[in-house]
Amino acid sequence: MVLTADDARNIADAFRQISVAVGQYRFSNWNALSNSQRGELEDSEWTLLNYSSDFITQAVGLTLNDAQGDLQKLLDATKQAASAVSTIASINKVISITGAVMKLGAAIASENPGMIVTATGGVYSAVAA
Amino acid sequence: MNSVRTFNTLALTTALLVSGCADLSNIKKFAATSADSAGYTSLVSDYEKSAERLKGYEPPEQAGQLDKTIAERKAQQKPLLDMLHGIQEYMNAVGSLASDQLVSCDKSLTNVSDALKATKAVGTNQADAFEALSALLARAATDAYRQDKLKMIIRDANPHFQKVIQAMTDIVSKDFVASLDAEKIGVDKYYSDIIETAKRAPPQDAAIELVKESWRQRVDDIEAKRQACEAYAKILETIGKGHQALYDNADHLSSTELLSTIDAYATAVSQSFNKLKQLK
Repeated sequence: MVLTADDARNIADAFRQISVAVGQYRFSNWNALSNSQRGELEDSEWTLLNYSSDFITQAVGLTLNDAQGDLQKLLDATKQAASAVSTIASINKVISITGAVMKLGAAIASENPGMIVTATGGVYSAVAA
Repeated sequence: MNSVRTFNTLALTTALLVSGCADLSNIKKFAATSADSAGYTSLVSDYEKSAERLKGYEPPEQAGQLDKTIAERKAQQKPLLDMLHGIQEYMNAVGSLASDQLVSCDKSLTNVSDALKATKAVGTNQADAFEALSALLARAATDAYRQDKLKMIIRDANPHFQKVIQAMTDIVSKDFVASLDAEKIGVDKYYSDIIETAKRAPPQDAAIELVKESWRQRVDDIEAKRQACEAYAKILETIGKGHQALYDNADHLSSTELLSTIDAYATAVSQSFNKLKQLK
């Protein structure tokens, strides 16, 4: 039989309840119990509580295992979204480079060395951005 | 005359296209607040510490039983944080895609317009008109692309997103809370034992009161952490519901009704998260 996360949670809950019940019995019958009886009951209370903590941990582990495949698919979707953002950003970049190249063409046509140098820098900046 | 007609036709076409441009800022707001909340990791580290604190209340001969549990919880820290980071990164990516700045090509087109003016191939007025129309057309085209992508990603991711959110909600609302409940039982046993023993060695009234005060303090601390877990689980549920609303209306991402609903989810997540941070 395979233990599910909900099984582990139910078992953990049951162990906690029994631990509390044993504790209530011990405190309610404090005077009627011998030292060693009280000691044995207390030991079992802590052991039950520790079993409960162990099953809580198992429930977390089982839930995490069950969700791993879905987490991977979510990461894939994240990559797709990032890729779409990059595509749109590259559209902006192409427009920027086009503008810079056109300015360079105009500068070359004007035969103005100063404008050519500035426009060349503009092309470089647009490509590097 | 012909150029005027062409310009008017282009302007009309552009106006029609632009009317389809969407303001998805509410989706961006929802994604940002969700991503911010998913970055809250204190409860994950406290889950491990809870077992360590419980160990501290146990008699030495019993406490060793918890070593395996503590080691396992330490090992679970990374996969737990991976889950939260997965939600956070996904919501950040959705937020980036929903950002209206992304589809604004205005700055790039101003450069092209300036370049056109520099070539002197067209007049200044025509270059300005080119810039205005191109900005609107480019925005319409990129906006249509991003809406298609957003729709596709939300549809593909939703079943997996819901399962990851549900898993984290279960872990926080059931397991983290159960861990705190176990800790409280341990605290109650520890202090009850001290008091029962003190009662049989009178006079101890003053000491018992001090112990009770310390006990109350520990219980209050645990209760505050319990409330934080419950509040965080509700935040996760709200994020899941918001994403489900996006999925249910993926064909109408820019509808006023959906954007208003998403805005309400964003506000709810933001307000709950602010309250949660104050609980500490």
